[in-house]
Amino acid sequence: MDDTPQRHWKPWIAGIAVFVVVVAWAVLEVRGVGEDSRPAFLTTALEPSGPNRPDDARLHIAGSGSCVPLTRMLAGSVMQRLDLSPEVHASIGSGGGIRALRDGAIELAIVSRALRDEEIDAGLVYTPFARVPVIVAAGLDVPDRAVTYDELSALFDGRRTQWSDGTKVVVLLREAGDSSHRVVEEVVPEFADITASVRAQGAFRVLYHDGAMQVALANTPGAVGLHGNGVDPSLAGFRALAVEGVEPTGGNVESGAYPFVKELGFVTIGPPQGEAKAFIDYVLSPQGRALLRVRGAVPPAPEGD
Amino acid sequence: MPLREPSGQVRLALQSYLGARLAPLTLIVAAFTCLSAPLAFFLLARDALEVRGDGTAREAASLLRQDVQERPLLWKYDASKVVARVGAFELPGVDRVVVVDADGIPIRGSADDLDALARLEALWRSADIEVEGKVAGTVWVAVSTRALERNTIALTLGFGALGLVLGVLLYGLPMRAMGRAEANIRELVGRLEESQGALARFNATLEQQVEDRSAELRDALEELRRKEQNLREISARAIRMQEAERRGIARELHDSAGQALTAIRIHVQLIGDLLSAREGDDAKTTTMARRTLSMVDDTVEEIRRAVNQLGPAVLDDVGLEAAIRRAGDDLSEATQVQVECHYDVAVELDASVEITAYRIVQESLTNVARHAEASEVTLRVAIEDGALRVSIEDDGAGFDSEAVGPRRRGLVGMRERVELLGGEIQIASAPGEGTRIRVSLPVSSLE
Repeated sequence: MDDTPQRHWKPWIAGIAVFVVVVAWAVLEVRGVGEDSRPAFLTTALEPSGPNRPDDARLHIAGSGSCVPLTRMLAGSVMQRLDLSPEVHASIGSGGGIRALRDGAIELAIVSRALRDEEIDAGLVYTPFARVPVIVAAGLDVPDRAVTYDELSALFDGRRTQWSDGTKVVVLLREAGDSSHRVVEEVVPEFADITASVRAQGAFRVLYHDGAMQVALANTPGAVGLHGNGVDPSLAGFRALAVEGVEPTGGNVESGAYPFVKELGFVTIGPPQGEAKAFIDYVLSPQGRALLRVRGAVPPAPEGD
Repeated sequence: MPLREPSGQVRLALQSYLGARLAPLTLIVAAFTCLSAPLAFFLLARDALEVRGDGTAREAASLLRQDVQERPLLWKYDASKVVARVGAFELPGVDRVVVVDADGIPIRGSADDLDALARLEALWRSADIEVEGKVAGTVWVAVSTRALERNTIALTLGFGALGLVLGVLLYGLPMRAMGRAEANIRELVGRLEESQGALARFNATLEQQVEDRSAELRDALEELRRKEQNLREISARAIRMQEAERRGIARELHDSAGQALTAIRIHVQLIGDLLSAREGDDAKTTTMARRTLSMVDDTVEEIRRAVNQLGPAVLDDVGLEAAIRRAGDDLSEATQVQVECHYDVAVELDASVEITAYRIVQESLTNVARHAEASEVTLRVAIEDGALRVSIEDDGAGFDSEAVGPRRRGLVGMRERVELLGGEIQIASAPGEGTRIRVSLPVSSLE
């Protein structure tokens, strides 16, 4: 039995070393959790690999979903009359359309809102092409045919939960900043707070595109929501309620009797040119205007009127 | 010599020895206790976070997949809606959901605060948005690790305290017990050293005592040997004197009573003859004379036998060898027993030894004649290893030596005679297996 003090300290030192190593490893492991999982955009400056534009020579049009049905209808018409083959993409929103335009991904943006100052300063040019009603849409099973501003507020803030026949009201919301909501908010100021509140509460279902709203209105019993893309409600499977006793017809829009009206327009970088100009010219031509009126939209007054 | 403390106590170092070997074990146990549960919790919780992050990312990617499918190139420009939609996944525990395009660049509004994102204590998990086999974008989910770290540290502190307590108990209790044991051992060693000192002192006196006792025993033994030798010599002299006495008596009987009886027999025979010559004499007297003559013959024979028993004059006359052979011949003549005799003694023996040897042979042959019903007897007399060896073997009926015991006075007499001279006798016999008597008589008695 070697009982020299030096020999007795060796196991102590070895044990303490093991303990320290294990603890250090554990601490590093805990503190470093997630370090190696960071995505590249947090650690590296990434650059786009190339242009984001479709690799063809067609006129690409994209933007607000409110404009898409009318624009597609007009694009179909212009393909038959002119040597143009524009492609109207699915909705990416007015802002998305403007960004795509500025990125060079498309040649023509369609928007359902006015340009902002910085967009104007950037040289963007807005060309309105139609006004459409923002309808208070309800399912075909809903017995009510009209709402007042108060009733509209009551429906959307959850105070009114039943239609006149006792069926349950199902409110469908659009995301914040949606052009249809913005139009109603301009007429019914408290509507902005109401929708913001119920969105925050998660009280009602939120839909992010006109197409999705259209499908939900048609398929949800007791549904009510705002919709404004120039599509005939009766063809889409829901109905438009009169607001304050006024039906959302083209005439009421043009006369200003119907309160919730949305203006649709084209945006180009600088004055329209090339195929974009030809398409806009066609839309604003008598033929284009006629088509718009057929769909219940109100074209802008001809220049010089 | 054991090592000693400056105080003079024995230094055992058991406690330090145990402590040195117990310390690593204690530290390992403490470390294991301190870290095992927190580590297990950490690993499991991290896996759970990964699963949660993966699930959230996959769910968000799945939600966006249809939008991307409808807008293969332009989906990322619908950023506000994309961000709003995936924002619904930013529930407690999920710090951020970031959507990047195919180049890995976050879409607008998704990750405008890169510095804040980089500072997040989070585990990043991702799921690709695949459309027609191509990756159109990726959803990154930052799952917060703050709760994981906080809980892991709390567990580590708790189990660290537990490990500390266990370590103290694991190290302290055996060390305390060993300390007590060491004190006891030290005390025992002290006592042992005292005992060793006393034992050393005792050994010193004991050796002297043993030496003294040994000397006394040697003296006593020497005295005993001397006395034994004296006793043997006295015994030998006694035997010789006894034998001389007996021979004197025998000679007296032979010379006086024997001669007288011989004369009486002659006279009685003459009387008988005279009476027979006279016709008409009393027949009764003649018959009485003849009977008297017969009685005299019997008496002469008895005296002759007594003389022979009392004093084997044959020893003096012909020596031991011839006396033994003659005894054998006498047995053969009297009983038809074949007696074979081997005699190999070339030294002169003391008279007591010769007498004892002869008496042994004589008694043995008498027993053969009376009890053995033997057909052969073998006698051997020789000098071996400084002793006279006498062996008498017969093929007779034998006897149970255990059963016979002291009733055989002849056997007892033989043993007494032998032991008087310091010799040994072995009598081996069993029913139906004959008898073998071996006697060893020391010839030192010649001196």
